[in-house]
Amino acid sequence: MAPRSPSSPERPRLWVVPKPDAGSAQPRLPSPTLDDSQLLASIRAGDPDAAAALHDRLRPVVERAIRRLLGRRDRDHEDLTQQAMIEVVYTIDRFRGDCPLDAWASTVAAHVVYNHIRRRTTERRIFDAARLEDDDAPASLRSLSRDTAARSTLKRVMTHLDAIDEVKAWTYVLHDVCGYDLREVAEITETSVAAAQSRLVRGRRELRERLASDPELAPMLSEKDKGENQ
Amino acid sequence: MTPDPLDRATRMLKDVVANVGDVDALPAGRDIAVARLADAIRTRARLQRRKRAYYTLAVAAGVALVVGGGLGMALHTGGTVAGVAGAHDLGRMVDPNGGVTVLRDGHTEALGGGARVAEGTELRTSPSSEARLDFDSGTRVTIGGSARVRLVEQSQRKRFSLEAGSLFAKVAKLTADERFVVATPDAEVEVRGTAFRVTIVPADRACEDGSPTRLEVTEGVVVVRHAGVEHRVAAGERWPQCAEPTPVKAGSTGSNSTQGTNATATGAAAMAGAASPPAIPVGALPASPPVALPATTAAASPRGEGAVAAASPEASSRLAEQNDLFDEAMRLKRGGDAPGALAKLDRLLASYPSGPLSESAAVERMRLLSSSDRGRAAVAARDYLRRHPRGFARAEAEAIAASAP
Repeated sequence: MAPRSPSSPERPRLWVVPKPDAGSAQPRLPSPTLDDSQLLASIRAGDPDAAAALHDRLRPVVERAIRRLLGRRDRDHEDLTQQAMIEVVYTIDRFRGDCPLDAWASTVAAHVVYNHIRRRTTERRIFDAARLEDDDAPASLRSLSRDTAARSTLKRVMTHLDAIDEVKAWTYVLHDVCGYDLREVAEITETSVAAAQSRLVRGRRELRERLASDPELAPMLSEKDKGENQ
Repeated sequence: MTPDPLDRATRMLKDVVANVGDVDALPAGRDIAVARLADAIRTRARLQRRKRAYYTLAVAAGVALVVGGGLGMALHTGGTVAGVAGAHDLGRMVDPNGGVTVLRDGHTEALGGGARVAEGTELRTSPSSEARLDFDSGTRVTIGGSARVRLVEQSQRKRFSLEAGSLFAKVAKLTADERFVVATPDAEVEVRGTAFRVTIVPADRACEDGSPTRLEVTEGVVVVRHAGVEHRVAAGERWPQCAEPTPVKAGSTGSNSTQGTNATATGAAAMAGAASPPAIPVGALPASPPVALPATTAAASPRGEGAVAAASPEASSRLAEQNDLFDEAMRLKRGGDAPGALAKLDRLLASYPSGPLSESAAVERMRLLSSSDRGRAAVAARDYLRRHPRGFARAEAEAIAASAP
């Protein structure tokens, strides 16, 4: 799956939530279907009846954002999803409509995860190698997992990523791996766009140097490259 | 071409993060999640309302600040007689009897109580009234009855021109670049650290070439510059030496006096080394300007022009004792010792029922009693009204008397 594409100005600012398909399961608590403008207006007006619509509209977006950063089995996953949704409510006034609501919610969720990971006293790594052992991993990853060499390569890359400066690693992952643009990265990591840019450049350089200087990793990456080319 | 290891690693990591699996839009805990979101929406609305309230309060406070600042500036610039304001300390007018006429550029102006009086203003008092100028520095100028005073300069250099009547000045300590000068038609009195009184009387050709200026020093040393000659006048002395003690009755036309602390005076004739004249009957009363023109023992002048204050060392010492009693009472009052303050005031009133501080003491006593014993306060208020039917605290006394049970 391709990383989340950055927002483009051509896309409509407010999206209409599609009605569920006739064949799909009916929601247990049917919520009114509101378009984004109505939804935002209701939240800003303090209407608690908009909670269900907001949940159903943004929960998948928030969930995906958190899973991308933490994997599917993080122990704090549920709490973080709730926290991110509530954070969306509290920061809704900062949403000016200059990007899709999904992109905004995704950025808020990533910010919640970023702060959460940094507050952790243990397991502060961005990527946990345990996610590679996920039994529920999709076919692409399971096939990768079957390739012992590839798994070994990935673990080694994660080790190097874990070794570089934390904020630079975060910036690299958020931008290059997860697809957030620099402005969003700056918001997530609570810094300026210029600082985010600088961290990105330095993070890339440090990681590249570490990867290139790893004698075991270089042939692995080359072999993988060859294999892909074949 | 050698592949970039970072590109390869990034691609692998993208594959990992892309594995988000299926997201259930209606998870098991949806109801709880929705309820929490509803709470968050309500809380946010409440916070928004509070924020708006704070904002409104802040705006209101800002407006009040601006308005208050404007009013302050208006007062600072002298109200209706602002004139040249600047950042200088301008006297605030206190006119308890409403008998002061304010003239500026030849026009009469109404001057509200507490308004600042700028330079160039002329103040005229009626025969039965007094006025006071209170400066932020603590300087206090009391203008006696039938006086005509022009505020010539009101910058760091304070210069008053006394053309008729009397002027009592209690001048706070001056800095090196400050001056306080009272000019009479033929002399200048400059304050430097003394208590003094300058009086203008009808000229007596037999005394100091007919100079109408009379200086009496009660504290420190005053220098008189007159006709290009400087005279040093010490406490208890007066200038000219040949002059009789001056009349001090407030409101007596033609009898003009100026008193002050920190004083120097200048005159024409050489009077330095003058022999000590009879003691000056009055001294500066630091805490009671309106009564600080003590018409103590009065006697007819040789020319029959108003009362002449009799001078005696005993009078000065009695005055000092009154000052001490009153100051002590005020100190105790500020310290919260009302009974102690009342005792001092009672002693002052019993010992000096007609003293210059009696009215102020009576008022303070009445005020102290009003907060503890309304019955006694009413009695004190009625007594005050009987003794001082036109006193400066008349309205307050009437209110206290009326509110008695």
